[in-house]
Amino acid sequence: MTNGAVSENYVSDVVLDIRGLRKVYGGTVALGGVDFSVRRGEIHALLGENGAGKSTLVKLLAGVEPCDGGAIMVDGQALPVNHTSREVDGAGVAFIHQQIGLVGDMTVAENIALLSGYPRRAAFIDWRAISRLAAEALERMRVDINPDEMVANLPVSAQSVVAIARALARDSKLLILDEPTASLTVDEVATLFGILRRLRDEGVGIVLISHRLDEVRALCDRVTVLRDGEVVGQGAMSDVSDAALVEMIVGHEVERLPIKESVGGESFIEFKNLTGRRLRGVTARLNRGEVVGITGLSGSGHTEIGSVLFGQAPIVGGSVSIGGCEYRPASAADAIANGIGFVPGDRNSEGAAVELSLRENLYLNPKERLFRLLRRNVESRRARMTLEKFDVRPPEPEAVFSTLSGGNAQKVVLARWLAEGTDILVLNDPTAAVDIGARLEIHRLLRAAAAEGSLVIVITSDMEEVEQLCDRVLVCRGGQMVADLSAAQVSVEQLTRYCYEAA
Amino acid sequence: MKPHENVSTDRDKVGAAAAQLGKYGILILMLGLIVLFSALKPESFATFNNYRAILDNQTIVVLLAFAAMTPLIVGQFDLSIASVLSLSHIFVVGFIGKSHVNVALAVFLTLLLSIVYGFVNAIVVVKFKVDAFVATLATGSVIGGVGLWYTEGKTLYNPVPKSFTDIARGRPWGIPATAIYVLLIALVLWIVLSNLPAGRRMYATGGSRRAAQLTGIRTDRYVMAAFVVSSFLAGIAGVILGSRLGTASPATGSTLLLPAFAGAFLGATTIRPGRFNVLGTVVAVYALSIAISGLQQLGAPVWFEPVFNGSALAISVALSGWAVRLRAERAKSRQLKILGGE
Repeated sequence: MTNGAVSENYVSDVVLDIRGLRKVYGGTVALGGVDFSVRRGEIHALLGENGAGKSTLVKLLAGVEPCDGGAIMVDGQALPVNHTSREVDGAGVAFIHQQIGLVGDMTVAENIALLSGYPRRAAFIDWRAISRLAAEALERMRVDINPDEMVANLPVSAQSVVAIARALARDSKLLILDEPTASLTVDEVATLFGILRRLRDEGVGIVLISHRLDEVRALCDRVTVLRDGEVVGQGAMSDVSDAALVEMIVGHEVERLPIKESVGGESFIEFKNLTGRRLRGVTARLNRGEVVGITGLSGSGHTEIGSVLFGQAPIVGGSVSIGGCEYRPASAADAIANGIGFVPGDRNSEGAAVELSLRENLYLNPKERLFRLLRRNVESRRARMTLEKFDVRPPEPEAVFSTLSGGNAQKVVLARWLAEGTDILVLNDPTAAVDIGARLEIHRLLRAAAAEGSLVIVITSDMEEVEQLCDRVLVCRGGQMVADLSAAQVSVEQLTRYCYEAA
Repeated sequence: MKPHENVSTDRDKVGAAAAQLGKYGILILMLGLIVLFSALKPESFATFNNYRAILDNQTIVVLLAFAAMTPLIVGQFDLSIASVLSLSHIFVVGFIGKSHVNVALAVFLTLLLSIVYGFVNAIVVVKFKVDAFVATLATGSVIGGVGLWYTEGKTLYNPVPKSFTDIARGRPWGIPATAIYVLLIALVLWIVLSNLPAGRRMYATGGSRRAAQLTGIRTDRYVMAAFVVSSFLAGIAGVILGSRLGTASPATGSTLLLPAFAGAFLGATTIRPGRFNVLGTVVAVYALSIAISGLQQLGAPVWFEPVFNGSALAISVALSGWAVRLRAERAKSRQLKILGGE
């Protein structure tokens, strides 16, 4: 199987066949001889915690890094040893990463041409041909996107559709998506999945890397689970339960968090007929000691509620009160002074200064007065205790933030607020791009904070997270609150239904 | 125990050693150059006067490098510092020599004006939201123009009292007075930047303006403060320059912009690699000047200095990018080990 010839007993419906793939980073085995195959016309989930080897596998396949052993065949043709990205490109493999990799200031058509090459007439770029090619590529996706629109003006879902259209403009046989939905809302995800299913039916092989089991369940035909660089499970999606999958991913049995039956906390935040940019009269009551989910489709206004609370969006009409007092924050500093903490959705650009140390990120805005000395060793000791308490790995105060994995990074951002204790904590998508183990731990931390009397507000479009984490969930649609459900009533299906239609 | 663990420990040791070398690399290089040049040119380089001259001459560049560094910490460029330096030395000499203002008052007025320029920069950048690079390029040109207007393009040769020139030429206990100023200013900056909440908030603002804001830092204020401090430092450098020269010319100062930025950027690769820092900046400025001075004594031509400074600037920026990538790789290996060790 190692040389370039087409193998005799090759199963013709296999589009990707990886045998014994190995990669060692500085003496640490990242992939220890992995077999992985994808059939034509299937969507294959590749699961595992961060560090399990998923992204290493993708990097080796993409030719970004050389492998230390093993063979890769695409469509029956072996790739040369240590192939280049151009070679894997030529074999018909396309990659769509979390960062979509489009140029915002260029039109859709130009972006598509970037990858497929600019058609020319004589020496000049043939702009009409570019538009035509783009229109064809988009038509194949059956989406209505104007090829002459600037990419920056499109919603994120349309951008990932463009990225896929671009990948498919040249008849890719195999499509590899690395967490394509991390920044999408429910409706955008639905559009994307519709397209992926259609491509599958056209015979394209698709690999989906995701942390979200609900998505994997809804979309995938087969699944491969990696742990510590080894394949620990492989098979048809229908043969394996969610619990079994989680166990394979994490490596041990995972107990479900007990859900509190009733919440008897005192009323804490009250919205009275609140209007804002998108909000059109929201009235709600949030209580001490509960974890409240606020969810909705993109544009429904659910994210704006968090922004209003943290002084990042204006209160146009109506009122907000905290503990009975009128509350009208003008800035984040006002919100913090009122006992509110905020965990933004994008931790790398909004949650932390990634080039600074964990210690500095924990105390990014020290509580001390402007001219009080910060004592480094005192701060360092405090930081280490906090990092150990929140199980951040490594618990090293001087480690640079950018070197942490998603789950650990998020724990540091959470610890900034939770270590000191905060009355109200507002979180945007707290477990986006966080692996399953860390996700459960973050959920546990949030439940613990609520148990101590804090009000935890989780703003998310991840319905599974709402179901697992929240005591109560508020659903927004069209700038209004359309449902107020207790934990007992909540199911993913129900929530999704509320997001789309009248209660 | 996995068989490869020993291998990675060795690698880590090498990595740690490399990190230490990176921390003190420029300092070691500087000491090496001093030994080398002293051996090659014992009669001119290895003299007390030469060392004192280098120490003294570079104080203005060090102060200007601090002026470049302060806005860089909050993520902003200030290109007007060389013009502020130039105008300040013109004003202080002119006030004293042409208008016969009392020395202390002239120095005070000059420094007060330098704060005003900084405030203008701050307003243009923060309130009018003009990109700092463009804004300070523009204000720098205007400030340079004011200098030309005041001097009518000529050098000011008006006599100035000794009490003014003593500010820079004085040598208490044989130490150049300028070195004492730099030491004091460096100390204050170091305390503020590394040991006070104000400094933490500035680094936070430069690291991620949005993240800083979301932890309640009023980032606009810190950005404005950085521009004011930057201009004030350039003003101090201007007063010292005027005092040392005793004359003032609108052509003086502009050539110092590049060495100042080279010092700040090269300084960010040493002592506290990965961030702009006071001590690193001092070390970097002196390392560059010793290299230039030594090579010139060995016969390097005049054009060599700007070429050397420019190369140092480009290389130091490239170096810090490389350091970031190296760190990312080491972290990756460490993370895998943690996960594998479970």
